[in-house]
Amino acid sequence: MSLDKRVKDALERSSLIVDPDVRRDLSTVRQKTRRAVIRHRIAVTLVAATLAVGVVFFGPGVLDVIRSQRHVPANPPSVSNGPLPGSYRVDLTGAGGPVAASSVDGAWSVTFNGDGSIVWNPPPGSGLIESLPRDTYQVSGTTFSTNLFARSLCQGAGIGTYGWVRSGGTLTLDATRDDCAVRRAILTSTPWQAT
Amino acid sequence: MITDAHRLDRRQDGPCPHADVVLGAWVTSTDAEYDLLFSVEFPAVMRTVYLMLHDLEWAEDVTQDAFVQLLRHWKKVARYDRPGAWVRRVAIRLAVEALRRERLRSLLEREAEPAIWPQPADVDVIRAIRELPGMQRAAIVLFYFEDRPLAEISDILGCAEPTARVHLHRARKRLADLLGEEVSEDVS
Repeated sequence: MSLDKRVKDALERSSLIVDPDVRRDLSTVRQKTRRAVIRHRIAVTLVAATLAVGVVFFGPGVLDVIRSQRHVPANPPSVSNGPLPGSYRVDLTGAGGPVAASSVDGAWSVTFNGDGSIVWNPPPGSGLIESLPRDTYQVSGTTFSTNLFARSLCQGAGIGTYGWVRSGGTLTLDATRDDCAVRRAILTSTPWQAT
Repeated sequence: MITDAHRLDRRQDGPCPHADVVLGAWVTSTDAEYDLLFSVEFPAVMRTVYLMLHDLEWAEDVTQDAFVQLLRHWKKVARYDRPGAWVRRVAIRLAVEALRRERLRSLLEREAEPAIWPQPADVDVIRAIRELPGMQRAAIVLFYFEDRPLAEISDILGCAEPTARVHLHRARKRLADLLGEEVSEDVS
C-alpha cells in the first residue's frame, strides 16, 4: 500500500470517531457567544468609565496646565546695558544728509569721560577744531543730555538728549530729543565701536 | 460581495459534498439559518480539526470557538456565498494556533493515546501525523482528508502556494521516514 493511500485511509477511519452532539454543541456555542459579547461590553464599559473618571479627576488639572502654558507671557528680553563712559569711533565716510552737507563725513572718535566731559576728534580735513572748555554730558536714568558741538556745528541748537545701549564693544545711540540735525546724524546714523 | 470564501470551492468528492449546495444559497442572517449551517458544517469542521489535534474534547472546544466567531460576525459572513468555508478556515487556523501553543508548553509530550478506534485504524500513521508541526498537519489533513488542491490549502493556511507546497512536501517526507515508506512523486 502506498504512503498516500495509507495516510488517506488512516485519516478517513480516524475521522469516524467524531460524532458530535450538534444540538448540545449549538447550545454551548450560543452560551460562549453570549459570554464573549458580555465580556466585550464590560471591557468597553470599563474603558469608557476609566476615561470618564480620568477626565473628571485629571481634566481640570490638565486644562489648568494648558491654560497656564498658553497665558504665561514670554519673559521680556533682559537688556544688560553697559555704562556710557568710554572711547568710541565710527566711520561716516560716504554718509549723506546733514553729515555730507556739513562736510563732516569720515572717521570720528569720541570719548565720554567719567567726569562728564567729552573729547571728540572730527575727520581730518573737516576744519572742525575742538575747543576748551570741553563739551559735556550728564546721565539721567537711561538717557543722557549733552551740549556736544554747541560751539561749532550746533550753535544755537541747545542740548540734545539721547538714550544708549552698550552691548559688548558696540554703543548704539538713539535721539530722544535734539534740534541739531547734524549732531543727531553723527551720533545715531551708525553704531559706535569701542576702542 | 467578493470574499476569500469565494475561492474555497470544495471539490465534489469532499467529505460533506451536500453542504455547499445548502450554503450556496445563504443570503440572510436569521438564527434559523445559522442553526442550519451549524448542523451541516459543525460535524465536518470538527472532523478536520480532530484529525489535526487528535483529541476529541480539544477539537470540540476549538471548533466551538470557530463557530462563536461565526455567530459574532454572522450579519456580515451570512452575506458571503460560502459562510461554511469561512468558519472552516477560522477553525483550521485556530487549530494550528492551538498546536503551536501546546508545542510551546511541551504538552504534546503527554501521550494521549489515539483514542478508541471504532474501526481498525492505522495507528502508526496517526502517531506519525502527531509528530508533525501544526502547519504540516493541517496541510496533510486538507490534502488527504478534504482532497483540497494546493491553491486552496495555501488560501486556508494563509500562506503562499509555494509555502503550502513546502509544508506538504516536508510532511510527506517526514511521514515516509517515520513509516518506512517511499515517497513516490511530489504533489502537484
